[in-house]
Amino acid sequence: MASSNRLLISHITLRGRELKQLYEQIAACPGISFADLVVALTPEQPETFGLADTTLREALNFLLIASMVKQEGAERRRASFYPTPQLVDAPFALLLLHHIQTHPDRRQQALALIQRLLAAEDILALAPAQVRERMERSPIGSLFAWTGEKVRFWGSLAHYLGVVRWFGNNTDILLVPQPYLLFQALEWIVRGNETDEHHLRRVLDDIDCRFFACYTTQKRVHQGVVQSLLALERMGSVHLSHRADAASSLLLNERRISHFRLCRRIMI
Amino acid sequence: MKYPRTWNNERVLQVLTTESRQKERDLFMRTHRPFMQIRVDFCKEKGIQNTFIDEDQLRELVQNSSLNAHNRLFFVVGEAGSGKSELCQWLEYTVDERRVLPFHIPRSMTTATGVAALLRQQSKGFIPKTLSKTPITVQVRHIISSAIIILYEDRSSVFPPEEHWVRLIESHEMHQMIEVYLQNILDGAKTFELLADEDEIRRILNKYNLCSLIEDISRKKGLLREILEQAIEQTFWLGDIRLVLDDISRHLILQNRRPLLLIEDITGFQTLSGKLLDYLFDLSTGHFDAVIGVTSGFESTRLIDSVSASDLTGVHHRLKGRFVLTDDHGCSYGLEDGLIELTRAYLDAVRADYSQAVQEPLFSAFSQGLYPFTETALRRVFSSLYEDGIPRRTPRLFLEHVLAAALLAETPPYLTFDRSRYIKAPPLLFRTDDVPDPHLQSLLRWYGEIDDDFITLDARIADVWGVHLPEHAYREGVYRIPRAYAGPAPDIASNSAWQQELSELQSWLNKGGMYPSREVLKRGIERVVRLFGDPRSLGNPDAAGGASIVYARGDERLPISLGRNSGDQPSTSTYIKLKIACSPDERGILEELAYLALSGKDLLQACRNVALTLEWAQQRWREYHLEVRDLFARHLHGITVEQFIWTSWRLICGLCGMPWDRRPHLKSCDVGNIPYDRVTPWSPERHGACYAAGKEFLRYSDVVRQLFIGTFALHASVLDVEACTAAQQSAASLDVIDRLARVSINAWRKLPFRIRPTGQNLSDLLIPLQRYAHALKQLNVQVAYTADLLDLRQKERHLAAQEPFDHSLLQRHLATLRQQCGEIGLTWRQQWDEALDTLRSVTGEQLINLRREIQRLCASVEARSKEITDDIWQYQQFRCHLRPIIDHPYWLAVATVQTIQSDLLSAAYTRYRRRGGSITNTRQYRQLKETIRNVWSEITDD
Repeated sequence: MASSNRLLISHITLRGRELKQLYEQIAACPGISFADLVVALTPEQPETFGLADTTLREALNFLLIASMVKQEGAERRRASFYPTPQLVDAPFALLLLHHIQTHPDRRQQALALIQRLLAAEDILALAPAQVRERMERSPIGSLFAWTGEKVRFWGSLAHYLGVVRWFGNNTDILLVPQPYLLFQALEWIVRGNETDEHHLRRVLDDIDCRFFACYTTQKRVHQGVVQSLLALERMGSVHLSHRADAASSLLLNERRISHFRLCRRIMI
Repeated sequence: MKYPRTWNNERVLQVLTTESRQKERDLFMRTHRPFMQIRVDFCKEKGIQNTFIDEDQLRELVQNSSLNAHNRLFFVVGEAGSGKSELCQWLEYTVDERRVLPFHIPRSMTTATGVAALLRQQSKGFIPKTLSKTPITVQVRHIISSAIIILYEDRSSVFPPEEHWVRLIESHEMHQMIEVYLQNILDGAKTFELLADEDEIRRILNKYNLCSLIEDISRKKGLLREILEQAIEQTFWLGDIRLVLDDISRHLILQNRRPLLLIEDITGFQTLSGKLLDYLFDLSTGHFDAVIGVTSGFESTRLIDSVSASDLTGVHHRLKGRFVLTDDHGCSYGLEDGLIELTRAYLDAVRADYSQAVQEPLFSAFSQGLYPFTETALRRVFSSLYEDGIPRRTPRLFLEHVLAAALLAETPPYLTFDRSRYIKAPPLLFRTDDVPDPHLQSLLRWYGEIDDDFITLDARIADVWGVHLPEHAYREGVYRIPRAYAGPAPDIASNSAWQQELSELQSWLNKGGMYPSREVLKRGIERVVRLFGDPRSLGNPDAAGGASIVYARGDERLPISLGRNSGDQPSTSTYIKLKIACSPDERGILEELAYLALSGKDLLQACRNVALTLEWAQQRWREYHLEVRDLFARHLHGITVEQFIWTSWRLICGLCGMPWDRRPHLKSCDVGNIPYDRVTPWSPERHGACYAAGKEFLRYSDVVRQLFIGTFALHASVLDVEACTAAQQSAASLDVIDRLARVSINAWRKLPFRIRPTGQNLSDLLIPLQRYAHALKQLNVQVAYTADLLDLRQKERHLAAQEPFDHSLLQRHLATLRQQCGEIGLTWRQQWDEALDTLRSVTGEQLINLRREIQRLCASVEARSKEITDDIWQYQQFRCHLRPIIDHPYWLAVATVQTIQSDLLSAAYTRYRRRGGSITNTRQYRQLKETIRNVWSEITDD
């Protein structure tokens, strides 16, 4: 069983890529055993005296707590693992963001709440130490003891998933979603829609609800999301427009936008 | 310059008032725009917090309560001018008077006298008048006596000498003034002021010889008025305000209604505020609903001094709800969204004759009826509103300092905006030498549409106001000039060197040609590109450590080549540079990056869209990185970095006897004290070239291991499965060893690839690798298999012959052999003991197992004899499996016996030949031969 008391944000040795690869391995072979996961993901290294799978166990624990996978069998090393995605066909980044955001335990939502609280204040950049200070004073300040490691883990995971940009310890964390993530989110939300043109506000509401925060406390689009949307338009990936008869619209800098159309996939 | 008007100033002053109460009800309702975003800090009755509601929902919250509920207090908090009064006014006009009776106390009503009068007036006579039977002259006498007491008790220090001032207060003139004032208040005049006539005051002061005693008459007048107002309040509230409010409450409850107090702004209240708030905050005293406007910041400072509650928390505990109109930056929630509709409503109210406004081009050129504004101009000026040096975007500031100021001015709005001290002009986003006319500059600043590459202006706007447009930039009704991105920052404006450099950049961006300050731009480009890491590094960015191969041309700086004949040398086939083509799309980003380099600011300060700039930088990073990879692969016959490292590590692991096929290991191949010939799959006799080249290549095992970790390991114990799978599949599809063998070392030496962090030249590693690969290619795998099988079969036969092995007999023969060595004088070597000990200790069962192992290996090879190809990996694997058989100590022991035999015969030959005669006829020699035969009959079939 997962150590359910452990906080997701305490898995500070993880970076994100190993989580993706582990999840994909389990998704590709539902019911895979721990031994097979070890074979698939770890090097053959007999001289490590049982420490060879430490990171793997850590990553597995993270996915179990996030309810991305489930374990059948009481003992980890003899158990089988199955994927339990809450969304169908969602890319890994969106899926993980969704699982964190909708986790029933508020403490486990911390990895999503940090971005949400900072976006609410329309913050665009903050040093990790400042993030920690803000979180300590925020409504989630008492969820657990905030440390620099936890904030740095959030920074690196959020950067890997694309919610922020963070280029290392000596730089500010930029609260600007990476355009490819935003594009993936837009694409996922509008999949199956019959029309090419989609209502921006509704889709952003959906993204805000499912994946990551898009609005400030004033219900305006967060500047980082605005920049990312406009960058997508400039790159030719989306087309933004305003319809006079639109039920609602959003202000992106000086532009009023009601609808958008996806044009070209982003090549990563 | 001209400024056609479709309104008159008188009407503007009527409509655009500072206070909402200055407007008639119809006009108010016509210009009122709904509050769509009111933040609910908390609302206890509905259990909601930190959400937004609109004004209708707020009204429902306020007026929806049970009749007998105790006092219910709601704070409406916002900056000055954020609409608290407007909201109170709207509530007064729209609440359901069957359920509540509103008492609207405006901001201007700061005294008890005024409030008392208002309550009396609006309660329509059901409040018993305090002092209703006392003649007004008696009331005045009472007020004067109170004022004298206050002067003696509290203010004697500011009114010296007291006797003079007491004479003044007791004077007939003062008596008259107070009487007139009281009469006016009781008649319903809300704004009548006490001691308003300064000339009259001066005359009275002169009369009582007080003018000479005071320096500042108006200040003294104010202080005197304070004393009198306090005295009036004491007189009026002698009956206790609590009783008055109780009367109102009780009376209305009998009518099935609740009293609703709408206090626009508690901030301005004087002594009344404490008494009134104390009544309201004592929740069980009555049945009032109260909406109380509070200016931001007042709660935590003056409010807690005014009420009995100990602190702000105590105040909040007594509130039913707290609603907030402005954010932490002083900006009204939702105002920006409704800005255009708000403006339209006011413009419609201002225009007596709307038909003028719909005349062309005033209608269509100005956002369909917004003349003299456009949507763009309104949004831009709104976002430029400042007060006291900080951004403050409130309805009052917008109405007074944008709409009213622009409509009342004699000049077109763009000039009004430029001159306003409440509006901080945004930067010009174009080069001023492109637009010399200051009027046009100003017009473009406020009315220009900002595209990615151009600023455009509907030419009709300029035409309406008589602003001349240069013909060269005018086309099809639109004036269009190239936009600049970094030019307008204030620090650039004050730095001529920066201006010069940016001017050079803009000139190069426009026309190409020599660009002298290229290094500045390159610094900016490098700074942002390198955020993604060094594009010259070919390692895995997600790797936890290890080493990587880097393209290390030149110094630490990234080689960058600016195009358009800037003066930079272009890339060559071996010296590749990050290319900046300077397409129109890049123009803005490049200007920002030059500014970034000049100013040393951070990205957010220099770039208007960080997401776009970073995407651009990442794209340049990828392009350059791919070029570096391509250069690497081109000189290695198409082998990628990953294939190179994957194959190298696999070869190294094979060389040190730890081969792998699909699942690599990261174990160090430092074999330490174990000799190379004990770990290598190659035999110095049969695979001499592979053996020798392999030995040389193995010296780089640690370097290759570090490269492997830096490319394929995410953690010390987790592989990058994606990278591994890709490398494995692609390396399998290419004959990588063949390609490595064909690498031209001379051509490779010219390429500046190094290993980071050691700084070692990659050719140091490539040369032994190439030689090893070449040796492997030279190896005839089929022939080698055949030889190995022959050898194995021979060993098998040898072991088969040992089945009747007699251990005790062999030991006796070995003892005799040693004795005869002594007789002949052959020196016995220590290592022979070890070998003979092995031979003595080997059991028949062990030899049978060894033989079975050989049979199994032979059978497996022979079973797939038809499939056996020249695959060097398979052969290496086979050789590694062979290693335990070859290395079995039995064979060493056998070889040692052969050595002993050879040495012994040689020594015997020398010794017996020395005695002359035929050696073979001597008895000793025959005995010796017999012993040797005995030994060999036990341990070999030969």
